[in-house]
Amino acid sequence: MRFQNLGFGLGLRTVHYEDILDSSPHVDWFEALSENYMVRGGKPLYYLDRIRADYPVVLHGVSLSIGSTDPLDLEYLKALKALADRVQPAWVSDHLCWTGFASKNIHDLLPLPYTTEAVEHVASRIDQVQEFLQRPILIENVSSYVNFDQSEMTEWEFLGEISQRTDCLLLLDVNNIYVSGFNHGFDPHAFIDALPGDRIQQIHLAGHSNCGTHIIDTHDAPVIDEVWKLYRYAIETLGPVSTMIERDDHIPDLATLVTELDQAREIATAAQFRASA
Amino acid sequence: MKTLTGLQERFQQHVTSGDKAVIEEITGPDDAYRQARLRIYYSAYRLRLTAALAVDYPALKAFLGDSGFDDMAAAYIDTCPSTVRNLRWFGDAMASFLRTDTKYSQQSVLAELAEFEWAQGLAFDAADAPQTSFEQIASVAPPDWPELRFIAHPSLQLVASHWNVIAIWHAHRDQQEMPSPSRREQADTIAVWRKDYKTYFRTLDRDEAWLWRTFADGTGFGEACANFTAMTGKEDADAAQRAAGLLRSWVDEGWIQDYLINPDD
Repeated sequence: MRFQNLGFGLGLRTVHYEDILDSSPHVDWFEALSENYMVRGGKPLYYLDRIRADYPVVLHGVSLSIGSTDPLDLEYLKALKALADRVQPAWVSDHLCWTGFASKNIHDLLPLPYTTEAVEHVASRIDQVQEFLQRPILIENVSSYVNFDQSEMTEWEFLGEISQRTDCLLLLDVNNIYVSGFNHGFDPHAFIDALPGDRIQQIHLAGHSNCGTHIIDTHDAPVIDEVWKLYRYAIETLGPVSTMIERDDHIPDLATLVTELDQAREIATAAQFRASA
Repeated sequence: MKTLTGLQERFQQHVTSGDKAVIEEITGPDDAYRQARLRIYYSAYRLRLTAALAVDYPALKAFLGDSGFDDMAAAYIDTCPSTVRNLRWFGDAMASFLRTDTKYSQQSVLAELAEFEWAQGLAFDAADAPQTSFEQIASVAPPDWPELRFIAHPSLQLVASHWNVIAIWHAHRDQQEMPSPSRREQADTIAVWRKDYKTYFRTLDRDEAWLWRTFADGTGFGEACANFTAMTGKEDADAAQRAAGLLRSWVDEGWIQDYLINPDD
């Protein structure tokens, strides 16, 4: 059961706070990075509250570490729940990855082996998180630079199996599919074709850095044409999905991102027209 | 779980220390390919954490220079690996690291500069709380003043500093040439706080620092003022006027969240 389609959004970034409040940009919703607002007070929560008063907001985390073999961090979950209670987000998401082991945190989205053991481990933890938060969560596919010999299935089979077992929803990062497809030599269209479309709640779009032999997911540049094409294919295949652009470095002014978001609107509209023609 | 646990342990060992045990578990045509791919995670770990420290400690970075800061960050990352979920708190141990590290403890200005910058971060996102007004305090009945106590605003941080850390910080902010570190025999007290979502700091006069600490320790207004008079060696009236003036400035600056009339409140 999916949530409402929110339309076209942007990642909420500090440098845009005032501009958002002053200019009321043509953006349907914002995605706030959960950890940035897991603080006691001050400007971050002040601006989040003000922007939330005018726009739907979703929460997107980077530290749930759903795939780690460490125990789930109850303090983190409590802080996330308190933030969700305050913000009343349309939904809460994090990544299909692990971020640390033995109480250390690498602060990176580290890859999992695609094994039955990992499916069972992650599914059980998603169940616990959804129970604790009293809401379904969205799980996002990450960009990866390695695969493990012990993997027993494809990434999309892994993601689909976890989603089916837990009833969690999916955050499809189209750029990450493209990056991982390039890095591991798979057809990104096969990834999109294989996923359960009725579970895909949100799409991420972003730029990356092509190093020739591999691509790194840097979120520091505009979305490239190949990713726009893949996005069009995703919408043709899946139908309308809440879509947003993530930019985490070399962040341009808000107007530039709104223009890039308009490109997503146009592509999605055209894709739906083609799909229904 | 046994397989996944072992893999995560070996993978993390590679990311944090370059340990090679995980290499043979990576899919790829040869070891050079596998190592190159793992290197992306190894490098990203250091780059990401160094970038986070640069956000928390911009003046320290300016003082050390880019290369010097990167070296210092690498030592910090290895000595104090992150155990926090939120990157916001990764740099929490910087001042204590700089005080105890064999190399960096030789320059004690570094730890004090780090402490000053961390205090600004603490003030920035400390808990929200009301800030009492002078009119509210002035409305306290005269018989209640001797037992009057003050509750500091949660954003207020006090930093003791022997070094010219404010001058160094200003040079960084204004992109001016860094002043030479200079040390005073007696430490200054720097207050850092937030008012109306803006962070402020200033150096306290010595008598002001003494009186504030006395209040912060929970001493009632009457006893604090009596001791203040004795400490300053001023006439009663002059000391009282000075104390009242300081109280006024603290209230105006938003240092005081609330007050208690009865110590048992």
